[in-house]
Amino acid sequence: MLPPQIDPQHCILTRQYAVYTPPMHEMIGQIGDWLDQQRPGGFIYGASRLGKTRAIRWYLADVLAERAGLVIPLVIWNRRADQVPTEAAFWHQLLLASRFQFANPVKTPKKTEGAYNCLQRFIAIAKSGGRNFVVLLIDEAQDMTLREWKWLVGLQNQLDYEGFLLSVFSVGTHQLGYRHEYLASTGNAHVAARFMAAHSRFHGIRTVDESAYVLNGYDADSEWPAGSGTPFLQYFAPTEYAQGRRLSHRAEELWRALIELRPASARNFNEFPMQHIAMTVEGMLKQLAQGEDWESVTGYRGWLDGLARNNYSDHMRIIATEG
Amino acid sequence: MATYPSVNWWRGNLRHHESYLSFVVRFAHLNGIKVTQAFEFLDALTGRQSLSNEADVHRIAERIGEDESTVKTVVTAPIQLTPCPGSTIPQSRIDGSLRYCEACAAAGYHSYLHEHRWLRCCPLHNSPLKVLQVGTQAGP
Repeated sequence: MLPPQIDPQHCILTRQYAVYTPPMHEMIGQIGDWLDQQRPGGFIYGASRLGKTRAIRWYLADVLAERAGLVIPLVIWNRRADQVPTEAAFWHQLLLASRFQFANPVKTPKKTEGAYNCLQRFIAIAKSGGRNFVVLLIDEAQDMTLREWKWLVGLQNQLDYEGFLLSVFSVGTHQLGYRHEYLASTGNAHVAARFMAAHSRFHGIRTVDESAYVLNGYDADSEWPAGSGTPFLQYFAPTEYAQGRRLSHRAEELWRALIELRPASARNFNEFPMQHIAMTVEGMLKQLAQGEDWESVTGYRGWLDGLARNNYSDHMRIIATEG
Repeated sequence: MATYPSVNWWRGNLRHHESYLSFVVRFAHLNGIKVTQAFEFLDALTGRQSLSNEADVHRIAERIGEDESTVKTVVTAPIQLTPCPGSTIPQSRIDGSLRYCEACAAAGYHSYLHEHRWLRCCPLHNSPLKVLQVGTQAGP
């Protein structure tokens, strides 16, 4: 039971937040480079739960805008695994992803109408940024079908004919890499060449320094409520915070625990999932808010307990088999 | 997070002193919706008031990502010539008709100025204005 001064709407409790990580920075930097090079496409792949989707949802647009000094005309589409693979549904999903005012979420337009509206929508988005390019970012792209890739080829061609460049960047699990090989070896090399010639891996947390960087996100590089200037650690553990205690000072302990709990089958896997670190820290913040002792909560034993509670070892066993 | 408008429109698409009707029709076309639906959407932004005020102008400009000063020339139709008592200048508008310049229309432009009955020729092209009977929903 949390004390009454802890607002149940705090983003740590609702889990509606993200902490910026070095792998996120690398991914966004890579996409920024591809944009600078005006690449028609590229894909980012990585194991589950490393933070790819959080990077896209919370940081991609803003960091790209900051880097380029302008608003990037960016449409982010989360490709649902249960997506009905019809052309009409495909255009409908793209219209919804572009937050188009007049796309009815419960009514799919006819195929030709959807395709035309999508073309107009992408042109309008490019023009609203005063540019002649638009970017489509597909999250969970490993489930994209060949037909969907081909519809995107058509859209890209049409936009090109109208004088606009469409870059399609996809993000997904390792299966996306196999998709590239599959397309190339089944007579669809032109699709692979457009959208998958450039690729990059999304990493997990790889070093003690990266662990410290992540933990510093909770110590300093965060705030709630918005505009308050109160970092997450200060909110949940004000006394310890005032005493100068910081989670980032415990990065060594976290790193040792990550190594220690790594199962034998994942011994060669030296990247660790952000989600399990985040869930462990969230648990620690709650323990601290309940008045538990700093040393026992944030010490080596505390990290071991927290990671074990969140099934970290099982997850490592699974992702080690993904490649 | 800075982003693009949720409707198909962009800064610079609206022309100074364009008629509200022209704006609505072009808005409907770009967004793939019916003209009545476009009227409903844009009228809702102005609170369906007969005279648009600064707040309405701001709301529309913000929603479509358009320049506020340009929107003002469209939704408030600022250039007017009110006849004095006893003047022979006719009233501005006849319901059910649309006055237009063929050259402007060919370029996709229609101004509320064309609707003034005291204007006989297009101020841009100096060509006589045409009158089209279009029914009662022609005016803004």
